[in-house]
Amino acid sequence: MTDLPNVIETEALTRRFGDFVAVNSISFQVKAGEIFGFLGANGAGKTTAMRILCGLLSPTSGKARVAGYDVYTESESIKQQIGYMSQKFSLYENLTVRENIRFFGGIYGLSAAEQKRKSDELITRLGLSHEANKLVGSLPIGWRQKISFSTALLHQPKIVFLDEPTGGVDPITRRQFRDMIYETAHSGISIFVTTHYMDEAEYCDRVSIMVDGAIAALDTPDRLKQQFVANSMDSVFLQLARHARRNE
Amino acid sequence: MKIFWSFIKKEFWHVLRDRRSMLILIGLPVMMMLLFGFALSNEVKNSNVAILDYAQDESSRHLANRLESSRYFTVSDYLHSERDRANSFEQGKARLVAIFPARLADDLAHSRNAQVRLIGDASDPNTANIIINYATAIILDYQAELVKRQNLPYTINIETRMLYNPQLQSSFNFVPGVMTLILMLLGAMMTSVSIVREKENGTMEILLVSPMRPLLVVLSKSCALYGIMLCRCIDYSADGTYRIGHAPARQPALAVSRKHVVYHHYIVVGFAHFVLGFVAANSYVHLISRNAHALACFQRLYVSHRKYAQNHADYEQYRTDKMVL
Repeated sequence: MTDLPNVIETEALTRRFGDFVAVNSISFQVKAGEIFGFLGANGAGKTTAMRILCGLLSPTSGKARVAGYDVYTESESIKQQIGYMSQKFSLYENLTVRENIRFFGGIYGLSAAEQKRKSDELITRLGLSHEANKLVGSLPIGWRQKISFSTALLHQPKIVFLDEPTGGVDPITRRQFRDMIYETAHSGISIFVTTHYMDEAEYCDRVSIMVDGAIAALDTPDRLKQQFVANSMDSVFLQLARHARRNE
Repeated sequence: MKIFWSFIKKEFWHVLRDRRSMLILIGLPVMMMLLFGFALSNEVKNSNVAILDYAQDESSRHLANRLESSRYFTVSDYLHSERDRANSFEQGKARLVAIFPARLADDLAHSRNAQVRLIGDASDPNTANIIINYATAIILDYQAELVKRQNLPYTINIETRMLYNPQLQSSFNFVPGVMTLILMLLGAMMTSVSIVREKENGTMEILLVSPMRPLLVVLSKSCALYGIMLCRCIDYSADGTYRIGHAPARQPALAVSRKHVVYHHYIVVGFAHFVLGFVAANSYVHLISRNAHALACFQRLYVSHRKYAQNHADYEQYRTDKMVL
């Protein structure tokens, strides 16, 4: 995997809000097709870091490139290259499945013909042909999440950011979701995922744990467990986060 | 009571600690006061008056000079015929036409009695009334001066006419104005409501990380909402144009409504940042004024018979007025 190009590269990335250092000099790389777990307690600076990488916030200092574009100057190009899905199911409940898919295709600049082709393709792939014209609000949460994830991939981004994608979701759906993530990563799209579920951290290729705005540990789950002499990611996380001074 | 009180306290803290709401609470009243108090006025100043002078003599020139020199009027045009009069109203060049009949000075000198006719553009009834009153006062002033100078009982009879809206119904004037105001307010309000909803749903994040620019989000929201509002207003205005459309000339009324649009824009758009409303409402009014006749015809097709009869009666009234003139 080492010969694959980096999709995200940061170097001493820092963001201050007044005196408060939300993100303190973090450096890491994410490779193409990698599932990168981004862990941290509340207030550790995960969200800020993610917002910088999505081009929503500019850093105070340091370097960062996403999909080859600089976060300071080319945030618009970054937005074209990334997908995003958050905890809240980023779909419009009073639009039908098809309308939702086409809308997201539209705001990423797909042509009408492409929108149609892709939405048809996606609906068949997800096995939703009977539900295509139903309002998203009437579908069960697990399905919505799948659709939401698939729409985030519609414009073939290089990387997908998942912000606590499985919050408030039952274990079966989480399992299915995990399979979807694997499948996506195999197709060469990087996954950048934040989560509070440590069992989810287990299936990441690499995991970074943020404490007080800095990266306290970054490695594969197995090596982290060795390093901290723990039998699960849960205890690795607890060992690190226990010493955090910032806690919301 | 305790619950109520603690809630009030909380709201106080919210407002006092939020710089933006403080700005709105303190800054906005100042701005509104300046705008409503000083920039906005319904004083009649320098109204355009056109003069149709058949007399071309000493008295008529004297009257024209008096109108011109008063601060209420500016003589915008000297007309040559009755046809010009209609044109100057329709093109919005004059709010008032003063007609001095032939032999004005002779009549005054010999029979000590003359007639002057004032015709107001009543598509804005209040202003027309005020203008006519001012003009009447100026002419009567001249009469009083003559009486005093010669010590003879001169009388100048002033005949006034209101065109386009002889019953001075204010609804012709209000409806288009209020319509624009509603259009603006609702359009802006609904746009903000839908942005808040977007935030509530969590879909706002998605829009922000997408290549779509925030301005574009606002713009497209307003487009949709204004579009819907426009459709709703067209029925109203079609009715309005139909009624006004029966008047010999329909443009002045629409010219007034267009002016209203501009007023409201100064006020409302200044506050709400919706430049779009300006474009939408203006192009809308343009559309209406251009298609006034077509709309009137269309409306005629389905307007109830009774209403038609009533409008027809109004029309007859205009015609008799016109013939009297």
